[in-house]
Amino acid sequence: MTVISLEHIRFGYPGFPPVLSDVSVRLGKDEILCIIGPSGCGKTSLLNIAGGFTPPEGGRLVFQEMINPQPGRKRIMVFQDSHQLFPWLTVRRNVAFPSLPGEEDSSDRLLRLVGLSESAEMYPSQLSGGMKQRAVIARAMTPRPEILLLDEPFTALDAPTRRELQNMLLDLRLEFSVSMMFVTHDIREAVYLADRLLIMTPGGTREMAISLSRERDEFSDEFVKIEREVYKLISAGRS
Amino acid sequence: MKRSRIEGSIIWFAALLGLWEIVSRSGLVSQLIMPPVTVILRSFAFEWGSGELEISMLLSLGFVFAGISAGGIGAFIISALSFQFDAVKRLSGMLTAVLHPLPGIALLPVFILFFGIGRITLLVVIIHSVIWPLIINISAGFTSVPAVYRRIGSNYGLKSAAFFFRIMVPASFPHILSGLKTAWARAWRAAVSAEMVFGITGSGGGLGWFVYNKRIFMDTPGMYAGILMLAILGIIVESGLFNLIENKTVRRWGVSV
Repeated sequence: MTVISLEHIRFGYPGFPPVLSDVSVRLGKDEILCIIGPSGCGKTSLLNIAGGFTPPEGGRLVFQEMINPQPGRKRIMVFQDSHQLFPWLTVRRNVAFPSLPGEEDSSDRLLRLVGLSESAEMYPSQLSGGMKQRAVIARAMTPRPEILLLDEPFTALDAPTRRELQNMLLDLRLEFSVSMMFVTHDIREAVYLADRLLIMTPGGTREMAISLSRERDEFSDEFVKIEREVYKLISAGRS
Repeated sequence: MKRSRIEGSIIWFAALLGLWEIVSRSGLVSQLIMPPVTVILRSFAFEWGSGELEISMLLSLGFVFAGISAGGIGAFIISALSFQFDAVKRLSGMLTAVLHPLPGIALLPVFILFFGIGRITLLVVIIHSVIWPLIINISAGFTSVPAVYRRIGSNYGLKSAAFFFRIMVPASFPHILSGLKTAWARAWRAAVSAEMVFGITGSGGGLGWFVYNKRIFMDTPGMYAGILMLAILGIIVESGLFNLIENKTVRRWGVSV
């Protein structure tokens, strides 16, 4: 079942070659689609269009039978910005920020799930980078979105913290049945998380299903083989 | 570190008072102009005991807080409209550029022509003193709100009023607080200056009038007692109240202007 579809999307900036020309992609229910490609290939632009933050120049976005809908609570975007939490609110109140009246209790459960119960009364300035991203993702889950749109959310984190947060995302997907579009330029991260990849290069886009089981070992031959294949596709698309 | 700084300030203050006492008692300067500190303190206690000093202080504070409240509400509305509408932004920019540098006391004759001598004129002088720096700071706060907060607000479906009060206002708070500090200093000076000119009701008034009146009757210890009261209030509000608000807000949040 498709939860969101981007059809024949075109987008660009005046006076420059188009960033996106005729890109089509669908996101299935509970699916994690990782969008990967070199810098400047239009990954973030595509995510912004999916979130409703940027209107496409051509083509259409279809979500819940609406064409090119405005941003809303069912498609939450985690931006590529390290200061997304509101500094004047504690972690608990940041996570509860999107709650509608009567929904505040769910923030406690989310804090538990992301491992921040002990830090709930701290302010964002007192948190580490990894803790901040946990809080950002917990807040994004508060309105129970159908889709989470993540723009390189773990780029600034060290490798072990990234892995912890990647596993946390996988747990949240199971717990809340949420579909995800995840932009990254890290091939290993993409292969670890994705059910399917959208490889974007200046030469065009290409989809690739990841045939690995959910328990993935990044040092296994199969994993490394897929990593290498993706690398080759990106390199070929650039030249 | 902070404690040693406070101790250092107290030692310096005590040394200056001691020097004042010595100079005054030595006869180098007439005690009519420079009465001994001990005499000033006795006068302070007497004026406080008689209730005249408290009433003057409360009158001045009441007008300052009323002026800051009225000016603050006005500045907030103008800044919000300026943020929304370019035409208002241009108008408020022009008015701020022209009126902000003008001291309230310089406009006092104009205000007296319009409102006569009395409470309304004093309030207008104070409002004039606070509204322009507040508009500058609140507007700077609104424009400095990170773009990502606006996108987050629209993503969570916040409508304009909720977005404004839940995101724009707290995100601008460091600038608003900075504006309030400037507003307090300007309001206090404006109030005391205007009171010195005509009191509050014409027959009596706040601390400015208290100081001026004591000088007229050459009660210099009483005059210095009034000035001491002004200094104490300044320290309480600037180092006490604003410091407390900063500690509970911007310092705790780890943000600054």
